[in-house]
Amino acid sequence: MKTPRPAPCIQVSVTPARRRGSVLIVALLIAAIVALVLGSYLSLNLGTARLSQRTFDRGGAFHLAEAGLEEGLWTYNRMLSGQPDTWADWSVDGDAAWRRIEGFRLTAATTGTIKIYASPVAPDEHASPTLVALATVRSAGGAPVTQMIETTLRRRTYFAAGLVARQRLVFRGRNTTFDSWNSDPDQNSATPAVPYAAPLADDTGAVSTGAADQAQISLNHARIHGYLHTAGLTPDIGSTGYIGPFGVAPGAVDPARFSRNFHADFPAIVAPEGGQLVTAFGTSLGTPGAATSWRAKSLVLKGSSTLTILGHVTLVLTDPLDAVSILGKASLLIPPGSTLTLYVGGDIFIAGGGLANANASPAAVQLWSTATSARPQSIHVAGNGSLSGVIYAPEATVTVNGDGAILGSIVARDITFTGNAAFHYDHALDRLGRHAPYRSDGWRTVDDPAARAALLPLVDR
Amino acid sequence: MGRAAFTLTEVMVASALSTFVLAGILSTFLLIGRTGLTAAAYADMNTTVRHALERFNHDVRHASDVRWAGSRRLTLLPAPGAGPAVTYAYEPAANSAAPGRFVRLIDGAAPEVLVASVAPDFAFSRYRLPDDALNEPPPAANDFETKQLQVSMRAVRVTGGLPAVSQLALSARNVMRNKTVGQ
Repeated sequence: MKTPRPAPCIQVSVTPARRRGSVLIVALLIAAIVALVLGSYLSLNLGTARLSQRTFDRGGAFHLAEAGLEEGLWTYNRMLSGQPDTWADWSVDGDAAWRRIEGFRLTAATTGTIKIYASPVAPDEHASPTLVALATVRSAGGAPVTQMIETTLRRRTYFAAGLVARQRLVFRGRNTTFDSWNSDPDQNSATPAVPYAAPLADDTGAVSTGAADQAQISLNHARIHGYLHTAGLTPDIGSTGYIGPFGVAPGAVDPARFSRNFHADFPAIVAPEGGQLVTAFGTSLGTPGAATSWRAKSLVLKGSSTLTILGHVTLVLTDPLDAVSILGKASLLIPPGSTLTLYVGGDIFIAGGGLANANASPAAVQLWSTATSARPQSIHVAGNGSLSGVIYAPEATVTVNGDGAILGSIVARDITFTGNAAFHYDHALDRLGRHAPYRSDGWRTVDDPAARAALLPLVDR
Repeated sequence: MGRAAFTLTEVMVASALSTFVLAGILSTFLLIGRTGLTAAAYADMNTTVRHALERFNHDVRHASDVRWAGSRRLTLLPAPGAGPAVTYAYEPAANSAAPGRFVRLIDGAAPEVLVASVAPDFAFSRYRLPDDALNEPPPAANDFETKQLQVSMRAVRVTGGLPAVSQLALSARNVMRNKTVGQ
């Protein structure tokens, strides 16, 4: 009998082999899909990381460029302060200067460089220097990021507002007014100045006070056609007073014309050295058409005496107590075309029309106080005459008790109006930069390719 | 005699196991897909919002003045000769609870949609100069004392049946470098 033949082994093994192949294909497909998904995810994250890095680099470049502008601004202000080595770290060629500052490490793999261009290196008082800064930030594995910023500078002014009281600002009169006009609307000192007239008056001047105590601000019935800056306080106003534009209702402070941003530095002024010594004043001082410097202990005019200023006179009065007294009908006359710059540390008393500035521009008479906080100064303007000039006296108490017109600007520690004076601020004083440092006057990032191409040869050296 | 085959029990057990395994794989794929879509939405929102904030920051830095029209609309005035005034605004949807859009407007030009879907808690903020360098700047009460501007927004993205995702963005307090205040 034949025993049944066992089934061939090969028939048994075929089916498992096919199964293993199917599993392999399925596994490969799954792995491919997983790889695709993970690849996409990785690509997405890499893109986000690159975007973050570029944003970081752009931010770094922006701040470096601004630091470059700060360096340039600081250099100009050092120059104004008389530092002899102002441009020592710069490469100067003609009227322009360049500087390259390297070695900024923003991260372990990110470095920065700044190039700065400045011109002119020796600007006059009315010039507007230009600064251009180009910052470059390089990260490992990425293209460099650059940022270019241009700014123009101008001298600050202490007379950007009509009245600036470091502390106390008081109006006691019932009819004190404040407005403004512009004696130099074309910003050209060669053309004649425009005198104040009521039709030219505007309501855009400002009154500022740094008072820290509400009791130091007493506006009462002052009628201020303009703006008010305080250092955080909200003032009260009397029933007939106001702050606002022409036509504003009395008894209110226009909320749109009131800011609490007032911050200012009031540096001490040092009188210039030298000057011809004057022991006794005659009827005139100076030379027509010429700039002269004089030095005296004090200036006292009494009775009906008159002192006429001729040309551009700088007068330093050294008496620390009573420096200027103009009494009775005496007068200090500044005729058209002449100017007077006074440096005074002692007290000042001007009566009536004692200081007669016949120029349309108040800037023709400038009073710079050299007083310090060790002995507060007193400046007293009395009478009903007109007074036109600028006063920078941050350690002085200024009192105006006449009913006349005051034209110009006053900067003092305390300002008190006891009469009904009409104060007219001259907007042209906003460009009177004597003794003041530079500030940025126009700022822009240079993003336009054409503008950038024009500036690049200047700064990229 | 027929070939050896799987018993019914074996087939059922195998089917059940396969179902579990395939369900797990499918679930994983769905999770990866949703995560990928969400990540893509975040990345896209990030790019869009970053671009919008850069436009806003750039315009604020160059502005010489501002006209505030509430916490959802303001107009930046450029320095003289430096181009047109630019308005930034949040335009709410017809349904006030639905996301609106953040736009940049220039007179005579079509609105530029910076972020198309922004939650209604959008707000501009304005600040004056800080009292000193170490303090936060106090809020400004009017245009005259405004020196710094900021925007906060929550971009929202809804992607095909997925839960909405959102990204809160807060700009820097940008200083209007060409605006003079408090002198």
